[in-house]
Amino acid sequence: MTDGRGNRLRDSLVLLLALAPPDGRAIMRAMGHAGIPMQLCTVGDLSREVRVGVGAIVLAEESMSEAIVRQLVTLIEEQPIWSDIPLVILTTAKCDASEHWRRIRNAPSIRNATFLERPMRIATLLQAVKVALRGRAKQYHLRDQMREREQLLALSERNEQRLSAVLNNTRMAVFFVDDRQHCTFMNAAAENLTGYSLVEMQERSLHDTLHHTYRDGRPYPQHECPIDRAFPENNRTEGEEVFVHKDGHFYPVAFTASPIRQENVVVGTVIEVHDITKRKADTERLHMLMNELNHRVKNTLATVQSIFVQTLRGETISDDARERVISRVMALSRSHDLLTERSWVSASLREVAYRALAPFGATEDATGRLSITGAEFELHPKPALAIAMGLHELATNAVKYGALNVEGGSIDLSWELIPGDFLQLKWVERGGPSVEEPASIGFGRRLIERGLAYELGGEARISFHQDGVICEINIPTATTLVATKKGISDDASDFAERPKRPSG
Amino acid sequence: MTHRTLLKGRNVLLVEDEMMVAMLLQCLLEDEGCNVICAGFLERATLLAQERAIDVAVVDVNLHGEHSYPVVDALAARGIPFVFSTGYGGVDIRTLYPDRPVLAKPYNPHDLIAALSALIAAASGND
Repeated sequence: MTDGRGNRLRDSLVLLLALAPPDGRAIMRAMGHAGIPMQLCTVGDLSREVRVGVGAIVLAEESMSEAIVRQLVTLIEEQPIWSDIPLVILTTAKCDASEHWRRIRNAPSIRNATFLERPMRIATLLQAVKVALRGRAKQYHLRDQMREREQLLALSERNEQRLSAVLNNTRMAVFFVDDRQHCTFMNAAAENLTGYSLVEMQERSLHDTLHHTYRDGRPYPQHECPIDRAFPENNRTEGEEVFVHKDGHFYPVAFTASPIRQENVVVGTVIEVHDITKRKADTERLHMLMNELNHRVKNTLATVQSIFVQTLRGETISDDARERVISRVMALSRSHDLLTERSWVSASLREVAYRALAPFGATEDATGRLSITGAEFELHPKPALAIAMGLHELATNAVKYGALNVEGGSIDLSWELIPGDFLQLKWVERGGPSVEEPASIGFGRRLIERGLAYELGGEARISFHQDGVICEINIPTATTLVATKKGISDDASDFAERPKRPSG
Repeated sequence: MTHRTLLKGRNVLLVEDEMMVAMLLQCLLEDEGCNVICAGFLERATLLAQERAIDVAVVDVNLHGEHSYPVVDALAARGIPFVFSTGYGGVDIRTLYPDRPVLAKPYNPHDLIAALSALIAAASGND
């Protein structure tokens, strides 16, 4: 048989089987005129030709020996379900009388045969051949449709196997729930996770079975459940919840609930769930370790402070110097707090500044003497510590010699992004005593102009003006800022709109 | 009244497991004229809190890995005022003892003196 649409020509090919010359030639000529493709075929070639593909077979009584009939019957019986090769058999009147022919006519296999008694008009033969080919074309059409369907079936079986291989081998628990939030499928991981089998869960409400109670024992009504909201809201929801195992224990899970749409109508929800007990425990442990580390740092700093104070007990050292050391140690300690709270990932510049300057009366709302304005930026831990220390030095200096030393003095700390990928911090003192550049460079100035600039990979400059000290610190954003999803700043755009305190 | 006069002659229980810090605070409080009773371990500190004559106390939250809650509970039972000193963020104790003052280590020694004086002043005011 032909392969699919590979050989349409063969599908309408008429085999002229062992036709003797006079008949054969006349028939060939006539069919040639009528445009019907044909081929002479010997008995020996019959099987092969039929297997390659054939539209109809024309044969004459005189060639139908017992051997040929047996071969024909075998070929016909071997045909696939859709195939019934039409035969056009040329007979003569005397055939009717022969026992051999009666057998042929009554053979159960030879049913799709047209018997044409010779002599006959050639047009009658052509008509019979065309009818046979038309019938045969229908058979081939049916065959093609069957094959297509078989291929689709095989494809969908392969897809289904693949899908179930994925579902049964993933460690993610997967549920399908219908439009009533009832479970219609769950995979092996889901059975493992929940303690229920698919049979037990089938047609039951997922929420009422797995998610019915809060950890504190209060009932968890379905309308409060974010997993079940995905369906009515037609929106993917994600989050963390606590499920109840079949044996009654609670376990924390992360879930994603995705509504399934068919032709834009939501028909159910796919829910993926995984156990996050370990992750929760790890986070808690990390938190504990972080706290412990902070505790050690604090105690070490307290010890350093104690060693300092006790070592210098009775020595002639000014109270001021003593106080400066202690306040520096405490400033270092405070900036560690912020980083511990954020798990040493990052710290907000605004908060770093606020914490460093709060002991000096800083306010976040620009109403006090020391105002802080600037958009939200996230700093890496080391620059955060460095900036906190620098601000502490500036503020200490302002209290002793600058704007915070006199009534009416004020300080504005602000920052903005400037060209060249720098974040520029500006410390501007106003209304303070007139300051002059000191002859020697103290610790605070060294820390800012050298240490801070070094630590940040940027520049820091302190200048002394009639009105007070101005310090500009340029920080390269690439190395000091933690990139957020929206870019380096969350709300840099609102910077310009933040109220600036009037200068005074 | 100044701090000095408030603290002079007072019995102060100092509960602290860091040797160096304890030494510093002891010196500091003795300079203020206090009689300082020191304890670095939970058991001894609790016993002292239950039995000794104490005017005011400084209690480190963590003593060799143990919480010092029994110490402060004993003090509270006797109506003795105290201030916490802690190296942690202090979140737990602020929830458990919301009304008690907390000093986060390292703190300025003057803040300790101020805190203790305030407690003494409040206690005298109640008398």
